[in-house]
Amino acid sequence: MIGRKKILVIDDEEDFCFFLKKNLENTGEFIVFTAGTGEDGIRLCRLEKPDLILLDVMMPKMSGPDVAEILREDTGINNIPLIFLTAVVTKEEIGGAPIREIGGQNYIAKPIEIENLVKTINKVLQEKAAL
Amino acid sequence: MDKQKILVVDDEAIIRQLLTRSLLKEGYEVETAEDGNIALEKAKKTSFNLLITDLKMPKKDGMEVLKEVKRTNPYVELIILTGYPTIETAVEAVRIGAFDFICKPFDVQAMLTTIKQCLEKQKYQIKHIELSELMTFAEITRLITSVFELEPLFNRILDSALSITKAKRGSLMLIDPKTRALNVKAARGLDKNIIRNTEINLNEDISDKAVQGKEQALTSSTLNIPLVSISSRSKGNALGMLNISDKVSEESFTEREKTLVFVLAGQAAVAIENAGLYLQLQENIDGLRKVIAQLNDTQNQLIQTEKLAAVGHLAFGIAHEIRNPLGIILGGVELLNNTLCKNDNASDEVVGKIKNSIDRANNIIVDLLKFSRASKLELKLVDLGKLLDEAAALVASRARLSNVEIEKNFPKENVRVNADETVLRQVFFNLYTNALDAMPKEGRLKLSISLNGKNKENNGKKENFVTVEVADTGKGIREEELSNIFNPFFTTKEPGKGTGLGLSIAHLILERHNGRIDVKSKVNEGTTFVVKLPQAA
Repeated sequence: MIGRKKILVIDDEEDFCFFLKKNLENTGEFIVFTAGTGEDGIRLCRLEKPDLILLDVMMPKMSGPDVAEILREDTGINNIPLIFLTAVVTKEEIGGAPIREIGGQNYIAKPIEIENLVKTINKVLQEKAAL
Repeated sequence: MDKQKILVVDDEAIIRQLLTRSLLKEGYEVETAEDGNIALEKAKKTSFNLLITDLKMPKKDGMEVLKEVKRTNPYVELIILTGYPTIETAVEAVRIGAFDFICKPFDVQAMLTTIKQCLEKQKYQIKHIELSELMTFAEITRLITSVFELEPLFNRILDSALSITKAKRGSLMLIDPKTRALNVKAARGLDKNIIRNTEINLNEDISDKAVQGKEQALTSSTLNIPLVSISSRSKGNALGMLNISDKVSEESFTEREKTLVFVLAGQAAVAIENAGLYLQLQENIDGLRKVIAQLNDTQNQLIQTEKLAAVGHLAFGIAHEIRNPLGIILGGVELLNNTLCKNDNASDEVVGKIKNSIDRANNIIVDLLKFSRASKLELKLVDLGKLLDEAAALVASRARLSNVEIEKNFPKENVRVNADETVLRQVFFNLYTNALDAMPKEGRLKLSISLNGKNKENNGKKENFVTVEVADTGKGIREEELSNIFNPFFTTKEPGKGTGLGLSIAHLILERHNGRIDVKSKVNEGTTFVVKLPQAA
């Protein structure tokens, strides 16, 4: 288990979280925790201190950006890199590449191919390590 | 009917008395003159029907008297009475149109018969002339009142006045309501420089004179007739002047001509005012039409914007509701493939097909989301050539792979348009992609920008249009498909290859840029998309 990166997925789609966890863990590179609401996500984040958070934008009650706001204000966890998952950012908007920086944040559009996601996660983690 | 008037001119008193007595008995009005001068005096005061004159008289001879009387009274008839008939006098008499040539001594009864015939002929002749004049006049007034354009109307009025009075030279002048100056609006037989430089400034009393001119405007060689308004708003105000001179025959204007031309001037004033009102009405109508067109335009744009906003809104919802399950399906399929099926070939193929279908569904969502982008454009100055290049760079490698040469024909100067850069780049990217789809093996993709686009009126402003042509040498589009090409979900591509939304999005996006897109195509020769955009100032 050592060397595996801890990933926290916060998404209200339970099945999505389930498959994402399985697929990411199948690569052998990650340990994945999932949360179905923003509140649970924040609690889990404080508890597990993940290396990276995959955060859904559109969620009932607390939205992805709301969650990000709270995490940023929490000194213990405010340096954890975030990747937003969204169903409404178009490929055209992200210029054909899987990622685009918007206000310092990474976005990735659903549906997500696991191969692309892994690449993105590793890129973001490398950037974090380089800082 | 008035009595017919006869002037007897003879230096022999006995002849005068004899004729007077006989003529009075016949019911004519008779005056006499013993010499030419007296005859002329009398002819000035009275318009005679018939002149019976001796040729040889003291002071002024008959021939001279005649010529002068004819000048003011062209219809006057003439019987020559002479005691010295010669061939020359007879010829001269015929030349000036004498009715008869009677030698002294004469038979009174025969003379009376001749006079009766003469006056009868004159009566019919005058009636005939009057009738034909009236017909001409009626036709002229009809023509005048049927012209609504000012310039042809002015010319027609002047020509009519000249033809009625048989004059060579004339002008129509109108008072400019702002400057109060008389300007020549139509002229005949006048030097062009005079016309151009004639602008008579009127102060109040001169223009009053123009109106009052009614009483004094008529001299024998020139007619200056005021055109007086009869409209309720400016009744009695002078509109301008009609000036006529130089009779063709060098005679004076007759009373009848003066009367006719006065009546014509009245009609002309009415026609000019009507034409003015008509023009004003036309302008108002044109103005209204423009307003209506603008309203329609705005309404269409609002509807279009609303539609786009609605589609965008819907697309947003759909995107969320469909892409999430698509995400789950994709995740599930990948999990199945990676764990349960252990990556065997058969399952790889199945997974590939499922992934393709997910892509296909997802592409529709992506295209639908572009509608929502088109509803809120962020316009800024964009270098069109640069934008076309950027879009071309995105397809460059694909073009190389299918042996398609990209040919550019851009003007040297930068061509700028007001556009949403991302959205417009997408439009051209779509057009290039379509072109490449039409040329799978080889071909040429020709991109051109031209500035000689037709000017279009837009809300009263003239706009210069930039034309961009994207032409391929591909298989072309059949005519029956061409009309559907901009309809949503219409595609000629194989299932799964295109969403059928690209061109309808392009159409909408260009419409939102106040531009347009058209297509022309020939089967087996190629297709050209013509995009027009307003050029930024």
